[in-house]
Amino acid sequence: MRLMDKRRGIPACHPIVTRLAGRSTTGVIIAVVIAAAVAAAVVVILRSDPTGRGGSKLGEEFVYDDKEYRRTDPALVNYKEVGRIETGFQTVRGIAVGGDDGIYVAGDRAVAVFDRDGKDVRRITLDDSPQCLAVAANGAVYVGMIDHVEVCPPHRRRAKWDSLGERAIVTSVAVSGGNVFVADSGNSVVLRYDTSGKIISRIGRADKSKDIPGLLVRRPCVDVAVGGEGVLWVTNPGRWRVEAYSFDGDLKSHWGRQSENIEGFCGCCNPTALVALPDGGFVTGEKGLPRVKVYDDCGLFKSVVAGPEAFAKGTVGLDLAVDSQGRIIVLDPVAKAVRVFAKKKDNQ
Amino acid sequence: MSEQEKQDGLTRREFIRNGARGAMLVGLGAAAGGLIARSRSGDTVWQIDPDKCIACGNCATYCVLKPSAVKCVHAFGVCGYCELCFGFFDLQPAGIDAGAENQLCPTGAIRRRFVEEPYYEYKIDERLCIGCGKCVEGCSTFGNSALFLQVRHDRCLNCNECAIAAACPADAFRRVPAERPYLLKGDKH
Repeated sequence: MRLMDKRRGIPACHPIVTRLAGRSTTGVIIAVVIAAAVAAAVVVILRSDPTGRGGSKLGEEFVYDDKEYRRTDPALVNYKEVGRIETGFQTVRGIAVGGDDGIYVAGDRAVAVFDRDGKDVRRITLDDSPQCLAVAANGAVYVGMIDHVEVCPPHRRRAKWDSLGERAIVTSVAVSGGNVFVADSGNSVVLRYDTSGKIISRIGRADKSKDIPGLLVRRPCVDVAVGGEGVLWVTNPGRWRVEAYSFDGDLKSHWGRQSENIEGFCGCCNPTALVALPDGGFVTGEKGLPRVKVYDDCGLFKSVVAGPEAFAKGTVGLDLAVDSQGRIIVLDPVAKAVRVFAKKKDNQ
Repeated sequence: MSEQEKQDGLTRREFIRNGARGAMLVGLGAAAGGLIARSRSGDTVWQIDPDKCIACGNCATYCVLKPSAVKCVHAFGVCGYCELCFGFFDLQPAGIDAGAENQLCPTGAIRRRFVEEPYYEYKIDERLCIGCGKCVEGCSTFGNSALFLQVRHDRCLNCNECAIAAACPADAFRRVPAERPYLLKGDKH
């Protein structure tokens, strides 16, 4: 016999069932709301990315994209890396090759000398930081310091030439016979010295009467190299070209143009490094898109020694030299190492 | 005591009273000023180390302010005043002029002005700059790194937990003394 709710005339369980059903609906609604709130909170937390791992989420127009220019067509790369010398320096600045193919590296407060196989032969200690260097045929090392040159002959006392002033930033030295050429990027000029340290002439200054536009130096990176037949080659980075001067300072010719494409010189100021090859051609080094390239004697692009892929992003201050075997010796300031590149054989 | 003397006496008393009040106020002001100065000298604010910054763009979107308190600044002493400035121009501009199609900045926040052949001056319009760092990357890649990002303290709320600092992948945010709130490149060059 079922118990009846006398007040309502229905089985006693009905009101209870009804009450339970009401409670159940409210509970479900509350549970759904809580679940939705928790889910929303989880989504917000997941999307908030407080550590920035997801990036800025800015649109494409805000992204600096130079990837296209950092890729080199492999068909243009005619050299491969065949050796590497760790310099042991914290900072490396300049490189030169001596008559015996010895590799001279300026860094920290010294010049390190390696033989052609990379064996550490000796170190020349200095009182300050060297910026660049050149090695004469007699073995004397001309070291460019920030505002002057120091000469380290093999078996004689060192000489310190006069300062070029407060603005001076010496960035390159080249030696040819009795001439020493010193690029002073701070004063936008190349100085021609004799071997005793006496200034003979100044090269590269703007001179309308001689139709010389002058060196345009937006960043201290002028490089010099001596070519054949009394020609001094000077980089004019602000004009993206290489200029030929007589030793007396007359502008004879120039080549080069601005372009991010492989044939030209990229960025605001390039090339930053230059080597004259025995066949009359050139090897150049660039910053921005760090590239080492070969040009013929007319300044026409020939091939790539190493493209941007071969260097760390942001590499600035590549320096170059070439040895008697035609190997391109590259000083990599990020790796703090000498990297040796040789021409590929036909089947490579 | 005459009326005149009374008047004089009141004036004297008032003078002394007002003088004492004034002295107290001056003393309190000096003490408060000293305390503020002392407390401020120990204060720090957020700033970006330009040597660490990688111009990732997070400064533009993670700041609690919209637009961000981070802006591009220009170190004129470092700038090469380039005709072809890669902080200003697109990588392959159609022309070397200030046409919008040639400009790198998506908000047009850099102004270019001819100085003399072949030098141009570039200035940041901070009202338009959102601190995305696109120009910073262009300038540091191809130029002298004269453009760089800094927290501007006329806008920054100096939050205890800076949202950009937490999202900075290069760990370039740090607190610096409030008396020297900027890390300027020209200081080192």
